[in-house]
Amino acid sequence: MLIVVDHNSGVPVFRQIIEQVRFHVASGLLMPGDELPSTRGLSQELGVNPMTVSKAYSLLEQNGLVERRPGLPLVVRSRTADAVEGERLTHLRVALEPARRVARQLGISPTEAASAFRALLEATSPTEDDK
Amino acid sequence: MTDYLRLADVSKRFGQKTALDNVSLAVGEPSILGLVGKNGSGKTTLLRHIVGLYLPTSGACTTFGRATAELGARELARIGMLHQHDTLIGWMKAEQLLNYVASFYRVWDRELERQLVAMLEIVPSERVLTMSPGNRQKLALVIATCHHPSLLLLDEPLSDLDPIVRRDVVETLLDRFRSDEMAIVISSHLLDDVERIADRIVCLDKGRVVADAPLDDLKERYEEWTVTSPSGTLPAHFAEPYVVAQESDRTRARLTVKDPALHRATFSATYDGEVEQHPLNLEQLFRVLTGATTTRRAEESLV
Repeated sequence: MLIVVDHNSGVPVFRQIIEQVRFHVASGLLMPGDELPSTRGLSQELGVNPMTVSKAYSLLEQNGLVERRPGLPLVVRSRTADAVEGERLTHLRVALEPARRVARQLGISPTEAASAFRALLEATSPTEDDK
Repeated sequence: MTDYLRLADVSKRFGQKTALDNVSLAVGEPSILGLVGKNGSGKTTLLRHIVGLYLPTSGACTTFGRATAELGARELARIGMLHQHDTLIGWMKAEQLLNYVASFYRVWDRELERQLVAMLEIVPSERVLTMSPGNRQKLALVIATCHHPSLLLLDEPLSDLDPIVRRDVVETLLDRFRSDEMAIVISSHLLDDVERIADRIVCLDKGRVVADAPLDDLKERYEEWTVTSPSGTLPAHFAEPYVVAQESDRTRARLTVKDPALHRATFSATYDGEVEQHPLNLEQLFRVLTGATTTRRAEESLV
């Protein structure tokens, strides 16, 4: 599982882990039934304190994203299509927040900003297909 | 529950100088505690109290539930300590010194010793005296860990190491922590490295504990806000008590804010401006906690 943490960004590492697991679930990289690495394994891989990983895992479990089974690895729970859809939009909104701020600061109208975003999406999609 | 260490209202005075001022601190469960503070803030003095090398002028200090003045072989065998200025025997070769130290312990893990010596690239036939400070520090770490201590006290264990080796040492410590149930107390001014491994931070300033909290909580307790107000209506000085440091020129302000989640909504209701929230890393937190963040006036330029 591809998780990358930045130790000195100021964002607590457990939050970075949670965000990335959520993102992978939203993107479909992690599917229902997929197993997460063990606490020890992930803490070794990331070079972080195991307490940090177990804190992230507990919160993911509390939020209903993963399921704990005695003696077995955590697995991703199945979710409704609506929940997945909502999650995907949430990630996009978070990513767009800085853009919203710039638009406000520069006095760019919502229509202009939306068309700029649309143009970017359309311009980059062919290169995405090329991959 | 194992009580690893406990200081209750400990003060330590050397003549006129107060090195520790009413310090209370307890470690009751496995944890990696990062002890941070400026030079002379009392980190070394605190660590030396835990093993009974210093006794408190007032207050009580216990380790594994026993007063540190009365620690015996049983307790001391469960402690590993790396001193800031190494106390290794200079004329011995690395392997001789390891054998010598091992002979004092009932349990000494030769396999772990072999692994660490190989990983940290210690040359067994090299004399301690001719080793670089970094290599001596690595050897001191091996000496402090191969008896599988329950309590590992490290006073600036990374200071003489280059960044690559620091990473290896940090990995080694995490690995030990994953394998053995133990508490580690690590003092360091290398905050990036402490931030990587510590789950709890104790910050000393002038012999006092100015912060003692899980690192994650500490990170969420403060935030930096960049506020932009196109209308230029920001105050030149924010009087809100939760603003702990600031610089403002009315159209832009950079604020360090305590308990940001509590105050975000009120702030936006009060001021006309876009707020950009940034988390603080340990180095920035350290400045806030030790009062190194100054409040700059409006006339000074914003960078």
